[in-house]
Amino acid sequence: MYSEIYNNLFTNGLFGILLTIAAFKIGLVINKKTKLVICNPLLIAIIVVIVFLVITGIKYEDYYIGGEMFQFMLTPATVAFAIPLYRQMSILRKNLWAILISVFCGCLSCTMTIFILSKIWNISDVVFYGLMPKSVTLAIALGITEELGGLSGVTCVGVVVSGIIGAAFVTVFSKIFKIDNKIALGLSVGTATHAIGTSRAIQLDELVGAMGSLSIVIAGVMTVVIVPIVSSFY
Amino acid sequence: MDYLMQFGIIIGISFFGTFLNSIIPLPVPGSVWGMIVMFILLCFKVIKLEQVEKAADFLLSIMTVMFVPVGAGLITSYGAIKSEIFKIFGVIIISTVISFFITGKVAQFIINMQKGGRK
Repeated sequence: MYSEIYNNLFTNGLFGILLTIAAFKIGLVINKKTKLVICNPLLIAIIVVIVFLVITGIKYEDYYIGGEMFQFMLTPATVAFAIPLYRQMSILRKNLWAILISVFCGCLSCTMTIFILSKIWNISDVVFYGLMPKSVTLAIALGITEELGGLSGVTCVGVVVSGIIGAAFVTVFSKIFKIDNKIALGLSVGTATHAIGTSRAIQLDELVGAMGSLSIVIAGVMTVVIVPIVSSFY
Repeated sequence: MDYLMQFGIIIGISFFGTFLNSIIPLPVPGSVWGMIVMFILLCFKVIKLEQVEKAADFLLSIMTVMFVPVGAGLITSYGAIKSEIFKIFGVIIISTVISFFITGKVAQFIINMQKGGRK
C-alpha cells in the first residue's frame, strides 16, 4: 500500500519539478530577508533539496526524474548566451585586445593553479576533472566535466563557491589588488566568478556588470579549449 | 505562438550543436557549439534578434534554477569526495583569487598602455 503511493507520487517527474521550484523560492526569500551574500539562493536551494531528501528518505534517482527536466534546459540556455554577447558587440569591439588577452590569462592562471595544487595535494583524477572548469558558468562547466569524465557534483560546488566568493568580495578585491578601472574589474569578476559574481557587480555599476557578462561567455569558450590541454598532463 | 517559435529556433540550434559535438573530435560541449553557431547567425543577420530574444531572455532568467538538481546530486558523490573536502575548498578559493587578480591586472595594464599610446 505504502510503496504503491510512493511509486505513484514520487517516481513521476512532477515531484522533482515541484521540489526544485519550491526550494529555489525558499532560497530567494531567505536571500531577500537576510541580504547576506553567503545566503545565495542557489546554495540554499541545493541544501533544502538535500535536507528534504535525507529527512524523507526519498531516493535521489526518484527526485532526478523531474530534476532532469531542468538539467535538460541547460543546453538551450547556454545557446541563449549568444544573445547578450551579440547585444554587447560595441563594447567588445572597442576593447577587443584588452578583453581577449586578460580573459585568456585569467583562465590559464586559474586552470594552472588548480593543476599545481591538485598535484601537490594528491587529489584524485575524478575530483581534479570536476574542479578544472570551476570558474566558468555552470552550463559550460558541466559540459566540460562531462567531456572529461569528472564528478559533476564537485563542479557544481566549485562553481557555486567561486561565484559566492566573487559576489561577497568584489569591492574588497578591487581595493586590495588596486583594480580601479571599471572595465578591468568587470573582466575579473566575469572570468573568475562568472554569473553569480556578475549579478552582484551589476548592482554596483552598469559598466562593470556589462563587462562581467561579456567575459562570462568568452571565459567559457576559452576554458573549453584550455582545460583539455592542461588536464592531458595530469 | 511567438514564444513557441523562438524556442523552436533555439532548440534547433542546440540540436545542431549536439550534432557538431558528435562529429567533431574535440572536447567541446554541444551547448558551446550551439552558442557559437547562434552568435555567427546573429552576426550575419540570418537570425534577427527579435526572432529569439524573448525566449532567450526567459531561459537566461531561469538558468539558476536549472542547477539545483545537479547541485543536489552531490549526495550521490559525497562519499567519494569526503576525504578530500578541505583540499577541494582550498583549490577553489586559491584559484578563484589568483584568476581574479591576474585578469584585472592584465586588463588594466593593457587599457593604460593603449591610453598612453593615444596621447
